[in-house]
Amino acid sequence: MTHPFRDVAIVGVANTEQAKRLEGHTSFSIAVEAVRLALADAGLDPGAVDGAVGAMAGPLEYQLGSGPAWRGYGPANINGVTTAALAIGAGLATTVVIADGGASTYTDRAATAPWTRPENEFVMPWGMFTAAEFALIARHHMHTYGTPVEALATVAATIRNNGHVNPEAVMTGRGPYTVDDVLASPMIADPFRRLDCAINSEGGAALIMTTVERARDLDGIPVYVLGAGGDRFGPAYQHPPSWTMGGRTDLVNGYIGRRAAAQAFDQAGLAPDDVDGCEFYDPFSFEIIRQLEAFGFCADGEAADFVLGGGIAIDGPLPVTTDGGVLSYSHPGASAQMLQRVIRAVQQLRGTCVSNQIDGAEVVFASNGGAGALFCDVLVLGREAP
Amino acid sequence: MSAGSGSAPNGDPSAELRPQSNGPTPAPTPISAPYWSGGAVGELRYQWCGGCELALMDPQPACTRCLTQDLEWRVSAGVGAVASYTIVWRPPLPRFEVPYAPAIVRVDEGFDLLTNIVGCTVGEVEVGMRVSVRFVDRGDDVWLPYFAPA
Repeated sequence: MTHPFRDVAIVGVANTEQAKRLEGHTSFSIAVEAVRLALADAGLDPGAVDGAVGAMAGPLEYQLGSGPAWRGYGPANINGVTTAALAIGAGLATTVVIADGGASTYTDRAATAPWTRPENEFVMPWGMFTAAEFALIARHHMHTYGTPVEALATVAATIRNNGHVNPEAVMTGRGPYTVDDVLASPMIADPFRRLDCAINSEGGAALIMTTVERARDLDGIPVYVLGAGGDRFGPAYQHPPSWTMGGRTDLVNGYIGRRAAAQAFDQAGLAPDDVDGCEFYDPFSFEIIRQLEAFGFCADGEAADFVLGGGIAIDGPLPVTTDGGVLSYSHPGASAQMLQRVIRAVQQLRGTCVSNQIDGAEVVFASNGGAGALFCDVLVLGREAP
Repeated sequence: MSAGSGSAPNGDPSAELRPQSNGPTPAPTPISAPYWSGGAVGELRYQWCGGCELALMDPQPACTRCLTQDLEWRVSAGVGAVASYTIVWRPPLPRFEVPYAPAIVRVDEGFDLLTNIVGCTVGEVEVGMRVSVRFVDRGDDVWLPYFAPA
């Protein structure tokens, strides 16, 4: 069987400025700026675009004058990148933009950010929000394996220090952070303290994919989708986020993403040992420990020791979330920050990171979601065409 | 970042866990109404698929295994164990009084339920703790199934 993504390349990526507040911008205007930057990065004219994915796909089709265009429904994240790759591979579109942005949406500062508190009858009366959902997952692992809070704090400090040294991070220069700093920050939803939790901010992100044939005519370094996968157990933030929730196989929600990663590695013909770095989605510190085990980088129950031993540090064997992630780089809303995991992976493979460049990175793994939200999407990206 | 209302110092293990006095009230649907109204007669109700011998929570239009719509409402004894929990000190909305304790309770009849633990202190909540239902009347035929140490 030929590789499902053999005809597809990522040719342009861009993040706009990311900040706590971007005056004068709307979510759409900052997304448009990201698209303009990503097209320039690719060396493509706006007229080349004939497809879009993301909540803003419709407005972008109009803004870019790209009609008649193909549209992929769904968010601008790993799922959106995968959808675009499938569409390009099937010949439904040639050049697809995946973009999102967030600005001027989080105004009521007495509340947590709007995207953290979905409302439905089963979670609303219990004061549930994303931190509590993910805390329920973390508690199960801590109880089962004796995972110490120091391991969670090590994740938070490591990734926040990646943001500290990143001049483009919202939290640049705000560290360095120690484990003790994390453990001294106020409790939000036990075991998560403030420094275990994602920040909120504003910004845009965009990624351009096209055919391998068209990529050959462009000047930049193309990046290839070696493998993809996605696991889901239902809607996020409605049903109890039980670690033990099962489905049609023996995979439980606590290790959601395991099937997806196995599919992605199988497509790529690679294994976790072949990965040079991981751009894991990091909404809360514990999620990194969970993902290391779910994806097969560590055995079940052993990721805490791996983390405590410096395993995910930038100078360790498996650097994780090298720009600072949503803990420190940026978290602009519903999906731009998820796309930013893919963008960072592309930058690592091209060797263009402004900080924490992994020398000679050939294969990078990216993820979105987490067990607290009942979904997990993954990509294996590489410099060599599949 | 504002805290919710409540006077306990952040992280205080001796803080008492109580039902919310001003929390939001769910809007029942035709599917969920029997669940929310059960507390009026002291019943923790759940759906049962006789064909699959499967307890369902939360309420669904059909069985999550065989998709039959022929589901029966049963009454739980209202007792279970804490499968996981958290203590919230910074709530999503200021109307929530902190601390409070969202938890997944594994009810003895074989289903997981999202609730809040009340009737004890923060430091007393632990995984495996036996708990039983404590209904709180929220009006409009809605009774919230909180759980307290059994």
